[in-house]
Amino acid sequence: MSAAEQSEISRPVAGATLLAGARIDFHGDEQEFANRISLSSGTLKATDDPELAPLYAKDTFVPRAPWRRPAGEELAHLRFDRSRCGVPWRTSADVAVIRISDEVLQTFTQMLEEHGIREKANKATYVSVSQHPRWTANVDALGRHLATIADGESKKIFFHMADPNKLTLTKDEFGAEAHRQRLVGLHIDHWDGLPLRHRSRARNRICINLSREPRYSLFFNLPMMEMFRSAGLRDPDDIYSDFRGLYLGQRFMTICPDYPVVRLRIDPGEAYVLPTDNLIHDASTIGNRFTDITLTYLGLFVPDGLRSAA
Amino acid sequence: VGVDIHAPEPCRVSHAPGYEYPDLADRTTMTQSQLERMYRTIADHYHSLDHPVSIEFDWHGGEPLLVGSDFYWRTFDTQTRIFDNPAITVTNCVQTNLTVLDDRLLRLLDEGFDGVGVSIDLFSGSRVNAAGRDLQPAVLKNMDRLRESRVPFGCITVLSRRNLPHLRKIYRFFSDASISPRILPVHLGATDTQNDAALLSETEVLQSYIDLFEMWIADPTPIAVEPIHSYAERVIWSLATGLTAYYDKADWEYVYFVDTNGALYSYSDLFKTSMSHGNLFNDDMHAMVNGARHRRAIDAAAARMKAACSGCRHFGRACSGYPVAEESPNRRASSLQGEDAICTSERGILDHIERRLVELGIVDPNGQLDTLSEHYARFNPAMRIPA
Repeated sequence: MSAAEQSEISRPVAGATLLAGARIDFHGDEQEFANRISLSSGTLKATDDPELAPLYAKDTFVPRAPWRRPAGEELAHLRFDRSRCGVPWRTSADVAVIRISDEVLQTFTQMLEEHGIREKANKATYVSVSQHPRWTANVDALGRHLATIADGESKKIFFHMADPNKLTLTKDEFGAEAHRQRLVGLHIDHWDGLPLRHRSRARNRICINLSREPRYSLFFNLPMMEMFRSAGLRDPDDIYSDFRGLYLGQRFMTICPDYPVVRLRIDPGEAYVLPTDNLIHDASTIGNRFTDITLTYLGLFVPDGLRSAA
Repeated sequence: VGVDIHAPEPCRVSHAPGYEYPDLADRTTMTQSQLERMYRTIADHYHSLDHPVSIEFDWHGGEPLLVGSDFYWRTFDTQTRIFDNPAITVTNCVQTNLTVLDDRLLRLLDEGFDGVGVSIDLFSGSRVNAAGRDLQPAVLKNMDRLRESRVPFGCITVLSRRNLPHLRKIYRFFSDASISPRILPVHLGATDTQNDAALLSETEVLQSYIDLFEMWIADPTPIAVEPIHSYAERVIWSLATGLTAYYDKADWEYVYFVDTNGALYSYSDLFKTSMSHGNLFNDDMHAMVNGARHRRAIDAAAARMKAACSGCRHFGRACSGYPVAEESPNRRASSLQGEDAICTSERGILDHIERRLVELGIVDPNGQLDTLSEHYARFNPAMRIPA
């Protein structure tokens, strides 16, 4: 029997209903959690939309409207329940929304206000905020705060500003067409360079919302290997053709166009923890008026109280 | 730990002498099932240890890309299934002549391998095909393709009698291209006389290292030239910390070599069949590592270090003794002392770097690196082009 014949072949199982997968640890109650979450009607190829096409790179996908509230079972799939014994919270698969200490945060946002970028950053006149006299001290204080929820070392990877009212934010900054600054839509990160089968070993990242307004984290709740199986792809043949899973997102969204994207609201002063090497993701500032400002660290972040579990 | 794999396809290109293996015309290849058995016994061995291990598989030739990309996608996936313990990290690097490069291989180099080294022997005129045509233009064109596709790669150039007069041009080539090279002297051949005409004396190797250091330090482009950069880092570490570190082969062996037939060697004993520890296709690696044959290799390395290192002021400081323990058997040296002793190049370059770092003000008398020095960038990993 050939390798192809030996492959496991199955039908896609990911339809329009959210499956169990990544869970969100959230500090608020059930009602507040429900109010934070929306689900898309699936995804669409950006270049199939005349308005989006000029902004996006080829073969990219974005969430498809309309958005809806999750059904009861979907909400239960998404919520990480600290009170139940079960699968512990996983750094490489699960998500968390955490509050940043007011003391640390206020000095940081005050610095951004003084620097004149929190309302609207003007690209033409922008002077790097790292020139601010309190930048180093504030970043150090934030780093010390984050160290309390990190296993091992963490690394600041970027301070980022983005325009308000954008469906998605991430641009192609590293590829062969980086100079065109096109949006990449829902995508997977590759910080740890792991093979698809080992993406469940990846670090996660924490992204702090330093803006005046809420912003949104967008993601599929299926970790990469679960996404692979849910799309009915063949193991191992489809892994041979995409060893690191760099094209799995596009394949999944082509095969399962109705599977919902999770939109999770992150308020000012909050941060989300997300394993961006193992969950297809992006972010959104849709509906906002002010500049979107975030600071992101890469590490092994575990919300307070879950360390032993993770 | 590095596992150098004598790759599964003989090369069809005439090599520059140096990192050349015997039986290049032998068409024996490693099969997927042999590789799987090898991975299993390697995994069993390192799983049994009580600390995390990073294993780097280095695929050498012949020309390792001639087996095609499918071979590697399959074996990489086999690795991910077998090395399923999160305490073990596996990476794969390839050392290629880059005489062939199609779209499938380009993707393999970009997405499959974690590191790519291109063997290019500039100004030696020794890399020709069966018809005698010089392949270097094709290699350079393929290097351009890698760059256009943003595939990171380093280069290895073997320094021999043929290209030694062109050392400055070799350096300039890499600096202009912003490529970090590893420039290494030719080894003894796989047979007694294979590379003799091309071999350099230890004194010639030392002078070439000194010349490379001076070119590197005077060059504003922060490329990393190995082994010069590593020597400089060790000197700085020694000056700055005052600590000592000694190579202990019994405690940890950094590199193993696997021949196409599965024979396992220490780096110091390549292709000396009498010194093979056993066969990874058939035998248990844990037993081999703890076996009598390996013990004999360990004792031989310790004897070499005792004879050559004990009177050396760098021993334990800027030099762990590794060059004598593992590298010296692959060099021509008639004795352990004298002008052409096996350590002449290491001792000499460490002396030279130590003196020059202080003279140039890069390192203060307390051994601290001056971060305001114009040369700081080349010692700061974040600012240099990786090798």
